[in-house]
Amino acid sequence: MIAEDDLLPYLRSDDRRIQLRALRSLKNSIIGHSEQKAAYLDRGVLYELLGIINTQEDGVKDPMSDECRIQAGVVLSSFAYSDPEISSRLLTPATLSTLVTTLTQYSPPALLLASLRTLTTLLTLRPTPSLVNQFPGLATSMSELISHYSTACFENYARQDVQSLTKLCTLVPLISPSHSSAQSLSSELTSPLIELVYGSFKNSQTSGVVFDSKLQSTAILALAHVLTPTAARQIAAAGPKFTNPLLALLRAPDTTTRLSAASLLTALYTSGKPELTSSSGVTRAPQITTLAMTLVPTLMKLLDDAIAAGDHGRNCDPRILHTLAIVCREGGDVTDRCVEAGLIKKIVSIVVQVAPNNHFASGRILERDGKLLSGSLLCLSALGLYNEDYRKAIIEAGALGAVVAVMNTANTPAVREVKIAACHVLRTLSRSVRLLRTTMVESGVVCGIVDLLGDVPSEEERPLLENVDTVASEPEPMDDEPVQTTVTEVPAEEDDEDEGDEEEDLEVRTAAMAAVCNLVLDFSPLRKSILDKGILPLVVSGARSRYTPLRLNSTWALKHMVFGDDMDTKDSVMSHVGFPLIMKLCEDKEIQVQEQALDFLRNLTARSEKYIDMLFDNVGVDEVFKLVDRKLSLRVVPAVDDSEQELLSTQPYYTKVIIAAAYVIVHIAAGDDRHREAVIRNETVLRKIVQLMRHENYEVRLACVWTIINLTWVEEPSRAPGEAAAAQLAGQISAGGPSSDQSQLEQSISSSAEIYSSDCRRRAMTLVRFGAREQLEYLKQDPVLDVREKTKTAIYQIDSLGGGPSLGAEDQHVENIGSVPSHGVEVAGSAMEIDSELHA
Amino acid sequence: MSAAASIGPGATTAPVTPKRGYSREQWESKLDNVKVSKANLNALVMNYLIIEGYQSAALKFAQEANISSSVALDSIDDRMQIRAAIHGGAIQEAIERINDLNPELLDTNPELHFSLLRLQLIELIRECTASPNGDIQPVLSFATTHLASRAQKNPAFLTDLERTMALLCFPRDNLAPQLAELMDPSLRRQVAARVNEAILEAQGVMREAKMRGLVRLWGWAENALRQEKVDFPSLDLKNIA
Repeated sequence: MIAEDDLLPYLRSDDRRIQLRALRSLKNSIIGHSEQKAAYLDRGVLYELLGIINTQEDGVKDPMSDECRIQAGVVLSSFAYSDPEISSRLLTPATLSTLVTTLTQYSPPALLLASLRTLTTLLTLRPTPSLVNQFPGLATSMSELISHYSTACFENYARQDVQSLTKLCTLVPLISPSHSSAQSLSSELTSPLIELVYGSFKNSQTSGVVFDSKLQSTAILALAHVLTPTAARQIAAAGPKFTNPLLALLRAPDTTTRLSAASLLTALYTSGKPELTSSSGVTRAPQITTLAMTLVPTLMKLLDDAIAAGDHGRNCDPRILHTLAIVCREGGDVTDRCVEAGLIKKIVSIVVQVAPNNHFASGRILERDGKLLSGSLLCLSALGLYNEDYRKAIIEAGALGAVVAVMNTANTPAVREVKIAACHVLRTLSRSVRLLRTTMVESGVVCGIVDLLGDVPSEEERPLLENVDTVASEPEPMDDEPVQTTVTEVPAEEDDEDEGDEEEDLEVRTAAMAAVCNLVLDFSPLRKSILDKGILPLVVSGARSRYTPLRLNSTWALKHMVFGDDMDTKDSVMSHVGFPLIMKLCEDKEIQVQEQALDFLRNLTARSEKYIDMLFDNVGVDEVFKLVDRKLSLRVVPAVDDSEQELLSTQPYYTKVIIAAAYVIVHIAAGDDRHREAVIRNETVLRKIVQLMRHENYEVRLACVWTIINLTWVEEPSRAPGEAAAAQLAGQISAGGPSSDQSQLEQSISSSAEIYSSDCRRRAMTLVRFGAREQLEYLKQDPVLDVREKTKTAIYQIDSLGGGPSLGAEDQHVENIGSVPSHGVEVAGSAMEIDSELHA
Repeated sequence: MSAAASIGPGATTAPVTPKRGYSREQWESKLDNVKVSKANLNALVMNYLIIEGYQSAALKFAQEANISSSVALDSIDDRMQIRAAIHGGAIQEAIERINDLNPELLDTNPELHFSLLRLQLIELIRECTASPNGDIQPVLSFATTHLASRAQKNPAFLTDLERTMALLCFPRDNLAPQLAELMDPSLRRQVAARVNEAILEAQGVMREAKMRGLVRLWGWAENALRQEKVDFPSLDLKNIA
C-alpha cells in the first residue's frame, strides 16, 4: 500500500498498475472519512479523477485502463457522500458532463454504476436545473440503458445490474425536476419503464420470488414522474393486469413500495381521467373515483405513521405529501375524505414545525426540509382549490404566517421550489373574495410575490423587457405604423434551443403570476399596492415570454387588471401593454392564451367608449372585426394523432374563445352610435352572430342576444342624447349609481333624437334581414332561463322598431314590457374568473 | 425442512369455539388441507439459504428447483469472506473488502463504520497489551486520526471510545465486566452480524430469513390457541430439524 500522503503523484502515473494501486488506496482512505475527503479536494484531486474517468480507449480494449476508470468513478462517488459543503464542491459543469458521458452501455458496468451513484447523490443533495435540457442526448441514453438493464435483470438476476437499474430509475426524477422537463422525457422513457414495472409484476407471479422491492418501487416512481395523459390512458387501456398488482402493492410491507404504488395510481387517476364522460373512454369516472378512494387511506396512513415517528413529521417522506396534493387537486369526494381525516391540521402542523421564520437563514437542513415544505404547501393549496370552508380552515389552522415567511425568504435554489408552492397557496386563498378582503390584506405577501416576479430577468429576455420600457415611455405607443407590420413586429418564435437553464426560473415566475392573478382584481384591496410596486412591466414581459404557462398566467393577470371600472388602472395598463402585443396574444398558438387575450379586449371595452375608440384607432376598425370574425369561426381542428380525449379536453377552450369574441362585439355595440354603426356595417360578423344563436353553449347564445339588444336599444325620448351625452350616460351606468350630472343631462336634449331612433330602426331591419328575428323566435324555447328572458327583451325591441313578423306576436310584447331592463348596455359581461391553470 | 415450510396459514384458521380439541391425526389432516404452492415453498427455502449464507447449497437448490433467485448469489461468498475476516480480527481487510463489494456502505452508515473502526482499535490495543513493552503509539495515533473527530460529533461514539481507551489502563486479565466484553470475541461476531445485515439490507433483502419469522408466528398462534383452551399437538422444533 502506498503511503496516504503521497497518493496524488501516483494518480498521475503513466503506469496503469501504479495508478490503480493509488486509486485503491485512495478509495480505502477516504470512504467514511470526511476530513480526508476535504483535504484531497483542496489538493485538486477532482480533476485527476475526472481526467482518469475521461481516458479514451484508443481502439484496443485495455482491462487495466478500464479498471482505473472504474476505481476513479468509485472514488468520485465516495466524495459525493460527504457533508454537503464537501460534496457541493463536486457539482461543477466538468463533473456533470464527465458523468453524463459515462452513461452508456459501452462504459464498463461498474463505472456506469459508480457514475449513477455519484449523480443520484449529488442531485438529491442539491436541486439542479434539469439535466435533460443541458444534455440533449441524455434522454435517449437513459432509455437505452433502462431497456438494456431490464432485459439483463429479467434474464439473469445479477446484483450489479439490479443496482444500476435501480439507480437509473432513481435518476429519472432527478434529471427532470420541472414539470415540463419530466414531460419531455416521457416519449423516450415511458415504454421502457412500463416494460420494467410490468415485468416486475409478472416476475413475482411466475417465479414466486418477490422482485427486488427497491428496484420495483423506484421504477414505479420514475414511471409516475414521466407519465403523460396519453401514456396514462394507454396503461388504463391495458386493464387490470397492470392496475391490480399495483393496487396489491398498496398493502406492501415497506412504505416506499406502498408510496410508489399510490403515487403511480394517483398519476394514472389524474392524467388518465377523460375530461368529459365519454362513452368510449376506456376508464370510466366511477372506477377512477373508487381508485382514489383506496388511495386516501393508504396515503393518510403513511402520513400518520410519519408524524407519529417523532420530530413532528419532519422526517416524513415529501413524496407522500406530493401525492396527496395531486389527489386532492381533483376536488370532490376525495378531497372531502382527506379533510375529514384531519389532513389540513396535520399538514399545517408540519408546515409550522418546519418553517419558523428564522429557519431559512441556515442553509443546511433546508434542502431536505424544502421538499417537505413544498409538498405540504402544494397539498394545502390543492385542498382549498374548490372549497371556501377549507380555505377558511387553512387560514384558521395558521398557515398564512408560514406562507408569508416563505415568500419573504431570500432566494436560494432550495427555497425556490418552496416559493412556488407558497404561490400556489396564495392563489388558492385568493380565490376567496372574503379572504382577499380581510386576512390577505397583508403587505408582506405583496412584497414577496413582486420580488419573485422581479427576480432578475434572464439575459435572453432582457432585451424584450427594455423594449417594453421604451415603448411604454412613448406617449403614443404605436401610432401611425400600419397595423399589419406592428402586429408582426414582435419576432416570430423560433423554436427555442435551450430554455434549460432558465426553465426553473420561469416556473417560479409562472407560479407567482398565478398568485398575482386574483390579487389584482378590482375589489382586491391589494390591487393598488401590487401595482404601486411596479408590477406592470413584469407582467407585460411575462406576456411576451416564450414559455407558454407564464404567458398564459400573465395574460390572465392583465385581463384581471382591466376588469372593472377603474379607468386609472386601465390607463396605466394600456400605457404598458400596447395593442400589438394583445393582437399577437389573440393569435397565440395556445388556445388558452387566446381566450385570455380576447377576454382582455372584452374587459377593456366594457362600458368604455374611450377604449373602444383606442382599440379602433390603434388596430383599425376592419382589423378588429376581422379578428372577431376569425375567432367566431373557430372550429376545433383535430391534429392527426389527437385522440378523442384530447379533443374533448381542448374543446371547452375553443368555445370560451368564441364567447369572449362575441362579448367584444356586445361591448362595442354598447358604445356610442359610431361604434354601433361599425358593428352593423360588418355583415360577416353579424351573420356569424345570427348563426351562433343556435350554438350549443348557452353563453354563446346569450352573447348573441345581447348584441341584438344593444344594437336595437333606443334611449327614452326625453333623454335621447347626441354622441357626447351618450358617452356621459355610459359613464353614469358604469359608475353604478345615480349621478349628480343628471340634471345637466336632462337639459341636453338634442334635436338628433329622431335621427337617432331612425338609426336604431335601420339597424333592427338589418338584423331582421339577416334572420335574427327567426332565430329569436327559436330561442324563446331555450332551455336556459336567462337566454329566454333576454330573448324576450330583444324581440320586444326589434318589434317595437317595426321588425315584428306578425300580429300574433304582438300580445306577447305587451306582456313583456315589464321585463325590459332599464338600459340596454350589457353590464355583467366582463370576463372575470377567479382562477388560473395550475402549472405545478 | 418441508415440514417447517408447510406451516403458516393453518395457524391463522384457529377455531373460534372454545374447548375444542384435535387429535394428532385430525390436526395433521387439517394441516394437509392447507395448500402451499411449490413456488412459495421453494422461495422460502431459497430465502433461508441465501440469508444464512449457504452459497453452494443455494446454487444447487436454485438449479434443481429451476428458479431464478431474486438475490445475488455471487455476493454470498463475499459476505462470508468479510465475516471471516472480522471473526479473525483482520478488520482492515474486512473494511477493504466491504469497500470493494459495496463502496456506499460505510459512507452511508457512520454507526457501522464507527463500530468497525472501534473494533480495529481494540485489535491494536490487544496487540499492544499482549506484551509488557508493547508500543502504545499506533493505538493513540489511530484513535486520534480516525475516531476522535467522530466522537466529538456524536456523544454515543464518545462514550464507546472512552470505554475502549480505558482498556489501555487496566491489566488485561483483570478487567471490569464492561471492559472485558470489549475484548471478548463475541464483540467481533456482533459486528460481523451487523455488517452482514447491512450488506443484505443494501441489496434490498430482508435481514432475517422469512422462515424464522414464520416459526415465531407459529409460536404466537400456538399461544393464542392455548389461551382459547384448545387442545392440539404442538410443534416440536426438534422434529423439523
